[in-house]
Amino acid sequence: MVLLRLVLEKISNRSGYLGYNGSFHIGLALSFSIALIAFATNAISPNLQLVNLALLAAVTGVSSMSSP
Amino acid sequence: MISVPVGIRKRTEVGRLLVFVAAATASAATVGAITGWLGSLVLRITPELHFYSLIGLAGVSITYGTAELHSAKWRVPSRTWIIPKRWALLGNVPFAFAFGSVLGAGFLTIITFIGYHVLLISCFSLADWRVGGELMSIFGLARALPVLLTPITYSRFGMYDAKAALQADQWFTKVQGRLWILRSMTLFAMAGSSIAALTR
Repeated sequence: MVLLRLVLEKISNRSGYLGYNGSFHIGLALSFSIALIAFATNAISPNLQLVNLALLAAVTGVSSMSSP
Repeated sequence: MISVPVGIRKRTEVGRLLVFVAAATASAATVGAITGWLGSLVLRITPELHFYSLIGLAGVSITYGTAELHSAKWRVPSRTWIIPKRWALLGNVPFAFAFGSVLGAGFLTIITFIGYHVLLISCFSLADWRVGGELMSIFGLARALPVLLTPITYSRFGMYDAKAALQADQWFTKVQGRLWILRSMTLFAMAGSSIAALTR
């Protein structure tokens, strides 16, 4: 991740692209990689979808609580 | 909202906390089981709806997942009602039960993350009341646990401290602010698995 960030920052500095938002692009690249992995693993074993759903349920639960 | 389990009433307070967690988990599980059961009924009559629900899941997951990456707060269909603070004045077991049940059900209160809707659509498309119940029970448990953070912290020190309460609140807000990456990742993974299910 650190290496990827460094490479992206280097490219953006060299190209002079002022609107570059490193964290967004890294996040997007990571997210699409995860979507791809999820696609591949679910195509092999459909039960893995339940693991993903369980994770989503936990994240949703914690995110839905505004304050302790 | 939930009082602190310290002092001579410690056992009663711990009981109330357990009632709260159990009610939130059971309430969420009931919602998931009903959705799964409804899914099995509806999809038996109209099996093509399964295809559309998967397309909807993939689309919603990708769009809202990208919005999370941008820290954009897109509108989530939800009620705006929150549990009134005056309920806490009741401070007994029926209150803990009602509070837990309302919170666990999810749709009765404000929901700020699309994951809840994605979960319900998934429970519907899985068309299995048992799996739906199990998945939503995780949601209920996870939603109830942060509420217990303050009482559990105080039970360790044996006293209530307003300054520490404020700090705990700030800490929790900070953690929540950093959850966007997990929200985005799980949504994108959801999109990937939905598309995989479409191709099967």
